[in-house]
Amino acid sequence: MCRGISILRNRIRQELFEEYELARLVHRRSEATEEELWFDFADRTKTVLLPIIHDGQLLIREWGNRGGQGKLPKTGWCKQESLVAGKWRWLSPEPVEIPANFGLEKGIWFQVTEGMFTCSRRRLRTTTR
Amino acid sequence: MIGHVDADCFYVSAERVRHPHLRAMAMGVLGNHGACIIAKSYEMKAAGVTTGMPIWEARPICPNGVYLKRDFEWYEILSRKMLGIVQSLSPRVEFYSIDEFFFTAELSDAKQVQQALVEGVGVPVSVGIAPTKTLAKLISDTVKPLGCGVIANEDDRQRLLRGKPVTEITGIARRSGERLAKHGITTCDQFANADRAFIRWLLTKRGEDLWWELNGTPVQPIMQTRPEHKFVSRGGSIGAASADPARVAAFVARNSERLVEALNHYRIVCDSVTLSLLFTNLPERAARVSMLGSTADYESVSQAALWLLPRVWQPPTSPVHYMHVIAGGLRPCGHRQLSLFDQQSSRSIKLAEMKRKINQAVGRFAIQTALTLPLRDVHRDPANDYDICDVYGKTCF
Repeated sequence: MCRGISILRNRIRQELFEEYELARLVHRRSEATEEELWFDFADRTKTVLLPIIHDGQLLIREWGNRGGQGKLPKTGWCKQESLVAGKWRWLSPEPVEIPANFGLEKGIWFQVTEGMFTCSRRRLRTTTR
Repeated sequence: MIGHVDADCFYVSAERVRHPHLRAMAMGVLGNHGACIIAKSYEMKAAGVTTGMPIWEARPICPNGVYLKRDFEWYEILSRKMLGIVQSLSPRVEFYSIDEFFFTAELSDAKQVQQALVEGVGVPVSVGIAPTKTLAKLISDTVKPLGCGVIANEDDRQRLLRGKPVTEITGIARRSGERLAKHGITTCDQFANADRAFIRWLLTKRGEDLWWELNGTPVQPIMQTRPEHKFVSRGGSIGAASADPARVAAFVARNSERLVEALNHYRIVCDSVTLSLLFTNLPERAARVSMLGSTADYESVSQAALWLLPRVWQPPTSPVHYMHVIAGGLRPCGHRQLSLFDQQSSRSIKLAEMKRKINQAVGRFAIQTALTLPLRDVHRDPANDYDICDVYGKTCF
């Protein structure tokens, strides 16, 4: 599982950056490092977003269902076994790629080199594999 | 003169070659179990993180640090590229360790070698040039990072040694340092100025060699090929300490498999096998068994190691956290002593050959003994497929 992800600022198009007001997510680990956008599911201040690549296009979508609205469970993840078992079939899940440079779990930032996630076609909300 | 190239925080620099966005970041490279930091960037070091520190201790000290797992296969690719560049610049080169090389040099070579490596590989290195290997290594360590140092005369040598802790000399570890300290020798200049016969008495010939080297007389040659092994060993940490007999036996089988692979690589056979276990709550225990004839056959080596296991693992409730399977009495394949009693069956020879061919074609550990089945977690992580000892040809670790 991954509590948050980070993507290099220069990987996000300016239009997306402005449309979703991503400036609040900009972080720099030190003055000498590149700017990153930190998407943290535990961030209670705003709606949690997530960058995804769907049909080859980089998009920004809401991450999971932290607010608990609708029929989705109040979470940002699901188990891979439950996906394989077809328990999410009613949402027509589709694979998307999350273009993360780093992942965050238990307070540890780790390098991400590859990853595939799934999201719902209906709501394009994400669940990790 | 002798040159010494030493890559600056090599594992970190190697990761930055393929992931340039990691540059200037505080980052740590984790060992195969993902718990301890085996290498760190200068930025992480500045925050107070030390090598060997567990990740949960490093996190509060350096909360924005980034961690990744070691990848010795990638580090070897860069290491051999560096070796090739040094070999193109010097007629005699020693592949000392994965990130260090000795070479015959002129005084003016330091910058040229450094520039060629930085431009050719992208890894920052420090270079030292001195009359001996020990002095060259000492000066390259002193000028890190991205420095060049030259010991051109007596003044340079004395300036380098003055006040420097004696334990910074490669070959003077903690125990030798304590012995020397009892006699008031704590710095390199004190060591170099001590009586040579006294140093030999205290630290044997190895200590005397260092004394000569530190005084500018070369006694350690550049070794272009690795000296013959006295022992070959495979093992290390088994991750979380375990008292589970199946898991510990699985590690013995896996390490036997890796050991046999190394023996085959070096084309040597062994006359004895030693199993050494380290426990969390008891002192280390080890035992050795002689083989029935010289062998590098997996069945024989693993059977010997597994036969030793209950004898070494006493009491069997003690959690094991380190182990080594060690082959001794080594000799070239062609000089093997055949057993009078136990001949390897042609079936097992064919099986071993088939396994070797498949692993060569499909990938290392594609086929392995079923005894290692309890190690699914180890098999799942590709970082475990390649270790530092799998980088062959180095003269040191």
